[in-house]
Amino acid sequence: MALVGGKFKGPSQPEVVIPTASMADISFLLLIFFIVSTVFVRFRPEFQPQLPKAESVDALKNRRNISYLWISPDGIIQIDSSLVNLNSVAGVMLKKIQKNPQLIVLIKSDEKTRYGMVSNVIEELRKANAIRIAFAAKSELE
Amino acid sequence: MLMGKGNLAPSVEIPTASMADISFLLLVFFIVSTSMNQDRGIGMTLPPPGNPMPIPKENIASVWINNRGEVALKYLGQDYITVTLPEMRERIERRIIENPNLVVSLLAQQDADYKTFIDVLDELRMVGSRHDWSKISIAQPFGSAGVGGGPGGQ
Repeated sequence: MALVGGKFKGPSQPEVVIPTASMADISFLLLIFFIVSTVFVRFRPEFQPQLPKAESVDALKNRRNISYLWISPDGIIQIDSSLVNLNSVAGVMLKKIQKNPQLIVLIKSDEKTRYGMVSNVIEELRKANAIRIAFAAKSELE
Repeated sequence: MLMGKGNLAPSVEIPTASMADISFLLLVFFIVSTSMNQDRGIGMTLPPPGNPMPIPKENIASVWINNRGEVALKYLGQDYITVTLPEMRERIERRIIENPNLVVSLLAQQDADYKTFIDVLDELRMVGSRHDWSKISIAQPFGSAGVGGGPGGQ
């Protein structure tokens, strides 16, 4: 038995390779998950309200039915992407309600806003028949 | 033309080596742009515009919030009592057990903080969720909504 060129060197070293063939599959799986679960932030408020905290908050599920209404401490009102004044809230909402009768108006008001302001807005919403509303609040646990 | 087989057919193959890179790129984009936080809030249904439903007065408990953020409670034929939030919860809870048809009318004055309003509303809903009761109505702070005038306003 002539050992040619030192071919046999005791116990053979197994080749250590991490299999990467399934990498693409894994990443596509994750990709699909994120594509499906992504909801883009639709509207940016002109001001970031400091939302009040509450314990009995519900999660609002269907984002397509939500219309956002921001009220700043100074009484500036923004509906979705446009700034409006109090008198035109009913008109704007009426159009939205006609498009989608399931609409929920999520009132995102700063906790320092005067209640009178919020109450005026609610009254306007009632005029527009936008009777499904929600007061945005942070969960107290956070 | 050594092989003598006409044109050499090149082997047609789509390169898949960069597939993982592309999908990771997309993956990173979607991870970054995903907003997982859900909208949370206290849901309510307002009464439709027009005729308000008459409620028997003995079923109404009024909760007042004044401009200074103090909370008071009033039943028919009684004076208002200034209460703290836990006290309010206790009293309302007792009332609901006595009278499941109780309607709480929440009336805040114009200059009350929105935060106080939400605190009281939250407290009422917490009571409600324990007793399967959800009759909270939000009264307008001016006009005809007042039943006997508000407590200690300015």
